[in-house]
Amino acid sequence: MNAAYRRLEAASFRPLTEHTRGFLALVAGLFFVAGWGAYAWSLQLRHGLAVTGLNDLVPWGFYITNFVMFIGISHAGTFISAVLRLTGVGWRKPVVRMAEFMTIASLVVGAMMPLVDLGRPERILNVLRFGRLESPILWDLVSITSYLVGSLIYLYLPLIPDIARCRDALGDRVPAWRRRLYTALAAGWRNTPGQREALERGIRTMCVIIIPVMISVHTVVSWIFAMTLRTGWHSTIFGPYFVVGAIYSGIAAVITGMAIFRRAYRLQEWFTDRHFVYLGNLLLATGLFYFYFTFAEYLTIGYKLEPADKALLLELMVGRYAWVFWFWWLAGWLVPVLLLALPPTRNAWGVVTASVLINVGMWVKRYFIVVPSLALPLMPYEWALYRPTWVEFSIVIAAFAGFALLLAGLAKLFPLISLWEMEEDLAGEAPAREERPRVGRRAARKSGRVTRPAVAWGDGGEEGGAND
Amino acid sequence: MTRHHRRLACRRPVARPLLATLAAALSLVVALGAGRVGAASGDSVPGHPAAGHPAAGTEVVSATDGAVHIRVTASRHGFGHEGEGFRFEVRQGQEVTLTFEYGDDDLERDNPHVFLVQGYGIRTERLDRNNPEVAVTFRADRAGTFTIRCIEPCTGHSNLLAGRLEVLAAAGATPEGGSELAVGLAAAATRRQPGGLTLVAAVVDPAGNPVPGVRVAFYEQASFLDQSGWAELGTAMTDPQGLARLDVTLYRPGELTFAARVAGRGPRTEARLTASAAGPVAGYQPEPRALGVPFINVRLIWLAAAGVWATYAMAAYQVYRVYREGKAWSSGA
Amino acid sequence: MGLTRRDILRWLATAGAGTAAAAWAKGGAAGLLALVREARAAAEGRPEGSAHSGEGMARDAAETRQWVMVVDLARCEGCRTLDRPPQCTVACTAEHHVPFDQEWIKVYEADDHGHHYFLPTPCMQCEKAPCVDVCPVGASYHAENGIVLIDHQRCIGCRFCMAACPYAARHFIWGDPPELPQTALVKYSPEYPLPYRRGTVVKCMFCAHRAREGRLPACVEGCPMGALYFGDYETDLASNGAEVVRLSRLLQERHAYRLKEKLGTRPRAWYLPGHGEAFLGQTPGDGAGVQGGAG
Repeated sequence: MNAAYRRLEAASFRPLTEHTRGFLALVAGLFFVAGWGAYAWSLQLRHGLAVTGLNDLVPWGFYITNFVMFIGISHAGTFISAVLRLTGVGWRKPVVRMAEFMTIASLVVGAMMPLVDLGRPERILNVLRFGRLESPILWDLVSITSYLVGSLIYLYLPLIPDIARCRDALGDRVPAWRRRLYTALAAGWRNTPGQREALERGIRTMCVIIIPVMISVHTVVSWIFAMTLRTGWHSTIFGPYFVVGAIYSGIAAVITGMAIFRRAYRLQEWFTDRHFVYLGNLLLATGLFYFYFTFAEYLTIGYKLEPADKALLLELMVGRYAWVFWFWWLAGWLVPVLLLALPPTRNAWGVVTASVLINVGMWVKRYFIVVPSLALPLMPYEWALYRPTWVEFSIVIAAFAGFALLLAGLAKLFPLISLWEMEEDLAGEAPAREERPRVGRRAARKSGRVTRPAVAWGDGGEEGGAND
Repeated sequence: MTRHHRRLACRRPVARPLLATLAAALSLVVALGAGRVGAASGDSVPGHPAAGHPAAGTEVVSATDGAVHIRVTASRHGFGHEGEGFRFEVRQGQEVTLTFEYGDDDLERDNPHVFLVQGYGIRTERLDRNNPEVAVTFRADRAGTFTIRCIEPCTGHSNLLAGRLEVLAAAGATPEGGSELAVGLAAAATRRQPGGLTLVAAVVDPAGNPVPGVRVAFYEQASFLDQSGWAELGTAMTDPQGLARLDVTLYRPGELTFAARVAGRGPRTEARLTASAAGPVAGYQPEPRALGVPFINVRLIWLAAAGVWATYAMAAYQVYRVYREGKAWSSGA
Repeated sequence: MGLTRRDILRWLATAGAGTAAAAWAKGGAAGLLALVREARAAAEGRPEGSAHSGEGMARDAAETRQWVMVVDLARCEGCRTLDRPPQCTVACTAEHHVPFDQEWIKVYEADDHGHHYFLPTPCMQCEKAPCVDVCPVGASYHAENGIVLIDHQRCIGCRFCMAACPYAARHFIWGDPPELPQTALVKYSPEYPLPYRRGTVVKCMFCAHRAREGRLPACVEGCPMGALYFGDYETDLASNGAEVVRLSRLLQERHAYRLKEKLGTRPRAWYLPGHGEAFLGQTPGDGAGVQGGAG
């Protein structure tokens, strides 16, 4: 236990035990916004969807946009956590826990949105009773449920040693119910070699399986659209297009969250500028990929210009949706990518600005993926109109408040930074050491070069013997 | 539309080589009856410009060769105070004047109507208490059956929907001497196709000679929901022997009535024929909705989900191991 | 008293085990699945393997009909010469007490390279209906006669079917439907789904309830021009209320087509090409050969 680790532990435990006035005010504000949204929803439940701006020609609107947005954000936690863990990227360690919190919070909020959108929410169980696997909605149900459960397991496993630390260290500083909670969730963690081996195995299993599940989630979300015969949705690349878009918006959300928590929890020592720049690089890469998909999507319909495609493109580029379309291209893509790519802004400030812009821009992007394709005339009629009402605005904003509340709640219950994983780095012989990929380590172990201190077991020093 | 294996057979199966014989006999019969059939044709009877089934309250005001004037009372009970039966015939080319009279004076409220001659696109003015008589005049230049109905949402609307105007095709529209032609009809089952049937019509002139090169229309007496009438099956030209053949497919068993006439004019000559189903009727077969490739099935999703959840179980089992180890550690300590 | 919680639990366990054992005896997992399916069918109140299972259109030998509609565009002039709203829509709205501003058979005014024409659009009752395919709960289904029906007691109101329909034929009961005295006593059936339920999807059903009574659909009866035919693939007959015709012959002779054929939805509504030419220009008062005279 060195000083660096003790500083981290103190910083991590402080929010768990002390509640500042600012935090309470924030929670009160969020509760007010969420409560306002709940009131709006109650109105909608009482009077039906007639209180929204939806109509027979544009049956989906803000709620489905929000659904896609939140399910998208949920990808970042897993992407950053599992992919970087699998590839052995060391700098991930301080940020993965928060990213995983975000995954859970956004999945819960995202999964609520279709419920809000239903005309008959009380019949939601019909999906289980009469569910038809032929419907993409059932694919979503299977996929999102699997992802939520998988994410919970994947969040929980690396939390176990930290919960044990909470159980052992916090003592009387937390109320009794939380002590009981920590004791129960710690699952009798005593940091024995057998426990470490089991935990390592569980984490490794999960970080492999969670990646295909993550990809499946936004793929089937996109298939809700792509399985229809609508212009603009009727596209083969929608699956990967949505997945990349999800990771793009998700990483941006994680960076925004990091910036907020860094300030609120005073975590400058661990959420360093280096982390922002590294995540900014990832964001830049996915941003370029997303450009590639968007470009391919619009070029393939814009070259052939089938009448309906042409009408859609014209409406997007110079018509009613030009504002949102070009807003995305500028604020959601061009400016962020420049901020992320140009040396003068390759710093925390630039990356966070880019991320905030991307968050807003990607919501707008989802809006003009969902709505114009519906408003496009299918028969000889004019473009349909969709004017969201205050009820929809309220519920969408309340969803963000609910997301923030869930995130704040998780961050108040559990350490925001993975203590035990950081301890390895801080206490080990090479504090900022990059992990080597697995294959390399296995080869190295075979050649007998690896003899590591027991405390660094998490990186695989010991697991070989116990696993085989 | 695809139709497979309608197994309908004719109760009087006649082998195809016999068709010629049948047709020959047919021409003979027709030739003998030619004069009679020809006389029955409406076209050849002058001075009979309007007929049909006039209901009470319907009146043929005047009828000449060139014009006909019909007057009818319209009330909530129907045309001429009756629910049904307003039907009249005119000949193609006649000028028709239709006068409607308001018949709901016993009703306290006003009960306005606007009448339409469907198919002629002709609409009357509004008929009501203040305008108790309206008339339209038009030339019946198209042959066929046309409906006369009210298009105002009035009381007793459903009683005013089924007036019929039958415009008989004019003689001038057919080849020379067409009105003198007679048609005989026979039918024989074909072996080429299940439910297949060949209709043969023989056309002769009054002298009994076969008439080649005349188009014959074939009909089937059909009823569909609450509608019934002659459904045209198709047309065929007569060959040098004066015979016209049409291959048709039967879609249902039971007693069927066919008819034929020289296309566009004259009365139909009927021939009755009873067909019955021999074997199961497969009916209309829609295309399958899926690809129909074995094993490519939506249920594969369960397989994928099962794999994922089994892996989850493996990971969750590690938690149990942690728990077990912790317990062992506690009891050991 | 003899019965304790433990007894009940034990009894439940035995009963459950018995059921499961019976299922296994019936053939392992397959037996269990069959049991589940039976239970589900019982819950749905439909015989197992009925058309509702989404497997397609089951057949009922002789009495099965396959309803279709044929629209003669040459005869439809949008009721312009009558100076009235489209009478098919009016008749439909009256027959079904169609709520709000919905039009279940909508007459579009189309302009196709200068050719002006009117396009009445009922629900197409597609054979490969996108709406039926995407419904998550099987509330949209094909009846045996090919008509796409909606079970409003099951519909969850997700509106996926509306997003999937390429013909904009579906409507939603967004708010509370008006309560009408004449609908109060109607017994609900998917063919005549009164009273309407908030938060569910509605559409044209080819007046399946009228066909059951042997009557033509309201729009066909209401069309003053005889432009709408109701037909049946099985008996190959069709009628517009004035004449009975052979359906296949009508479709063939008049070069019938279907809307958006290339989508492969195989609609059951056919269109006979035309531009209302049989009626356009015959507006009463100015048309050739038409004289309106006061009596």
